[in-house]
Amino acid sequence: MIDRRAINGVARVAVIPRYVTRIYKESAKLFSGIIIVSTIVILGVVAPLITWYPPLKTMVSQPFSPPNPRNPFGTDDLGRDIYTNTLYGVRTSLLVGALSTFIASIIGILIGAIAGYRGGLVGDILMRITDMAFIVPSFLLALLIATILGPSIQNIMIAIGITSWPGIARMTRAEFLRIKEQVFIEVARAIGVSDKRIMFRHMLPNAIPTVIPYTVLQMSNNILAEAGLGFLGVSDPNVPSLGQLLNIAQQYLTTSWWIAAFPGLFLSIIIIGFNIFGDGLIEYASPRLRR
Amino acid sequence: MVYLHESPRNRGSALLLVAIVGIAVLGVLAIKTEAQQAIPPYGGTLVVGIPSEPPTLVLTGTPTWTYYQVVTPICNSLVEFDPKTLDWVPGLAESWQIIKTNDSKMIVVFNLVRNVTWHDGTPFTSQDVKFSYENIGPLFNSFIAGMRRYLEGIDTPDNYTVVFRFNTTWGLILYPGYFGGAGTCISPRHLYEGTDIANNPYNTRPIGTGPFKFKEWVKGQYIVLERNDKYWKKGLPYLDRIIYKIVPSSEAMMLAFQRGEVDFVWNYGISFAHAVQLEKMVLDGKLPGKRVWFFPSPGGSLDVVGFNLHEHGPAPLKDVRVRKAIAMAINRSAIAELVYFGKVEPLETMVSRAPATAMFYPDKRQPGYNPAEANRILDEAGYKRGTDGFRFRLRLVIDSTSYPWYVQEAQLIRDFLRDIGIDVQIVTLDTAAWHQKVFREWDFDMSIFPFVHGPGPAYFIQYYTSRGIVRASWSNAMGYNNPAAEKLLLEAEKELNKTRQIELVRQALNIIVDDQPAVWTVSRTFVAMLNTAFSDELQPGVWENGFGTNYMRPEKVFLKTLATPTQTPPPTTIQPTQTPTQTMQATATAVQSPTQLATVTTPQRTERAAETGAPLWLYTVTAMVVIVIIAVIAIYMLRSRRR
Repeated sequence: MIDRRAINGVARVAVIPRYVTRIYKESAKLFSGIIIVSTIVILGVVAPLITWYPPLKTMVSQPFSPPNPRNPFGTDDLGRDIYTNTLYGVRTSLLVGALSTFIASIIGILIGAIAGYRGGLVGDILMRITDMAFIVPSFLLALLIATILGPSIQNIMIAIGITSWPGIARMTRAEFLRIKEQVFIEVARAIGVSDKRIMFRHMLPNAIPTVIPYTVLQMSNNILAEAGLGFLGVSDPNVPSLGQLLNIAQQYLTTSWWIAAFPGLFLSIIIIGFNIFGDGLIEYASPRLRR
Repeated sequence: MVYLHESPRNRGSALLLVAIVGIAVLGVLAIKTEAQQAIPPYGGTLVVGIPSEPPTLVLTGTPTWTYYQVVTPICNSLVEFDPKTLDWVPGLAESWQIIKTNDSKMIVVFNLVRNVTWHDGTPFTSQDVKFSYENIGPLFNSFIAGMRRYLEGIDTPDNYTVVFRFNTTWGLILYPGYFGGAGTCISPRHLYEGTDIANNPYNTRPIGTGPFKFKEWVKGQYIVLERNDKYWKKGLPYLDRIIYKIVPSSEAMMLAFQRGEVDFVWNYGISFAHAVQLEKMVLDGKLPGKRVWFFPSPGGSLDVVGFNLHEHGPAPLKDVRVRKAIAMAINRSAIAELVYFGKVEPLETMVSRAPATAMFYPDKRQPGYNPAEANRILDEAGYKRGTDGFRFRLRLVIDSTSYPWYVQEAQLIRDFLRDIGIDVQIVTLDTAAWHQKVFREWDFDMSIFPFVHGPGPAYFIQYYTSRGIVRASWSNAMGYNNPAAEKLLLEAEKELNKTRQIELVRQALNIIVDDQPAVWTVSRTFVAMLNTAFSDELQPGVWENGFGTNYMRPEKVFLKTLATPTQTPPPTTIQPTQTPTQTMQATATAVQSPTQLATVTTPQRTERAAETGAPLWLYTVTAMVVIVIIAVIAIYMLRSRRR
């Protein structure tokens, strides 16, 4: 392991931004999470540069070829290059994960904020709704919605987005309840600042540090959900998807292991990475959780 | 097997004794076996695997394949069909006459077999036939309902004669679906007359005239049929019992077949890929006593990539040159190889050489695979490529729930068409949505239709004439209509002379192939899997379920190995199941062995935990990966704690 003192020395001499060393010192989890997530994101971004076949193109090589120099991850049943489709699938996963989480966050934060700030009857009703939405198995509901609307990539994003908000809503409400008790909010109200302004200008920025890590964890859930939908056959056939690859691989597990192994590996890395990242954010943002 | 103990005293002479006795025994057994196989042995239970249960078992019912598999042994229809020639052979009717009257009408007279009784002992008469065709059939079976359009009346001059009077010479009755085949069994009038037919309790515990009686139906699990000792064909059947086991997933079916929990699977319930894997295992010798075989679809079914030719359909598709170019661009052999493992026939024309449609094989052909020529034709026709490289865009709509492999076929087609500059967007829908969009709303550009083209001209009329342009499932969704071809097909419908009828249809098909309203990609192949302990009468009949005939001849099936009992393997230890997909209830190994003699009351296949299926190496690898992941996470957590 690198000696911490050496790092400090280097930091003063070389130009390593201070926040990098701070993160590295304070939370190993966050550091490793950032590294994993940024690697994944970079991979997704440069995917077109490091692949040499168009995604989803069939018959680029003999079907069911094991990993070889031309097809580092082998080919599947229609002769598609798994390396290309895995990297593009990573892109799709990240996109769908991010956008669906964005949708879920908007809904969740809105509902949670109003419920937390208002309290009373409105708050109660909103929380009961949230509880009911929480109980419904979100994956099955997303599956139903995606099937009804038709499995295009937009519909899948929407379906996952509008079924994964309850957790965020709860978190936001808890935070708002906590912040509401703070003095400066009372003061603001006394001065006559409007409710809306208080909620979004004063309370929300304080709630964000606690809500965001939870959102990141929800994102890893959503990525898993997208892969799960793809695995069950609900995926857009015009877009590469890790879940779709795993679905195809199912039938050939014993004969062509590479069709499942590599997409599965990348999917696992994405999800674990985001989980570590999210946990790291929680750890970093809440000193009392650390020892 | 005969075990002989070696005498410890004199090895040499003991060996000689062994040899002599062994030869003698073998000789006796050989003679005995031969003699026994002259008369098939009685007894045995056949377990058939099906993926889902039919909604109802009414005998004159809706001809779907799940239904047909279960109902076939229970009942009889008026006639059956010869597997090779499709001619009528006697069923409940021992003879018949088809008479064309002077005023171009038709009379069909059936003379019924005497001394047939229903499973409850009541005698079977012509009244049952009349009631089935007038009251029960039209409620459930669209073929029989459609027959009413041409039927003037049904007379029963005596207990064993039925007369059908038609108002025209309707040639389609020569084919399965009307007087024989799925959904055309005769139902008992005495149990249905005066009742609410749709909700009659006998719809779920049918009484028929067939070789097997309905015994039990445990919803979601199995249906049991028992031997009918009083079957009117003397000496039949041979089996004691047929059990239809419901196995919901293809993996579970594959495992069940491997383990002998299921003896017979007929095309449905097992995916093509799994069937191919099983075939390989059998050929490698890893599955002794089993047989997997592929045969051309008995009904001549095929994949039809149909174009939307309605008024509101895409403009480029109205140009026959564009359609020909698309046909030229699709490599049908590649589809056959990649999607169907080379087991199907890439189509040169609009029918396959399957027995159901070989007679209609026209002279005209589809264009061969020639993408360069296709590009040239499209350029000439004025559809130049745009800046993005594409000439125009088409939506390919498929049913990915009932036909999941269509997704792959669609992806191949998309690639083929992209090569000639057509951008294809694939839209996957579930079955109900696909029917709605394609058959009722006509909202598609191209679609892959799992059509059936035989037997008989009925399906050509349904899919390629104006009569079929209705907003209903399984109709002419393409909106294709050619008056010349239609005239020929409608004439064929009225033709009672089979040779002339076939020729008329062939002429019509020549016209349709030239018009290319669709690209006929590949014919479909069916698969059947069988435990070879059972006799060959289990061979697939030639004609497809749904309107076909004797897909198996259950009355003639017997268990070969009852002649020479084999030793049962010792039961293996049973461990609780690990994988949730094994919804199969495993059977006791003793029951699996073929030595179920008629005298031993075979217990119901009881439910026990399945034996572990996943191989050891999978567990080791999974465990290692999990340990590594946990270790990584633990290290990070520990590191953060150390501070």
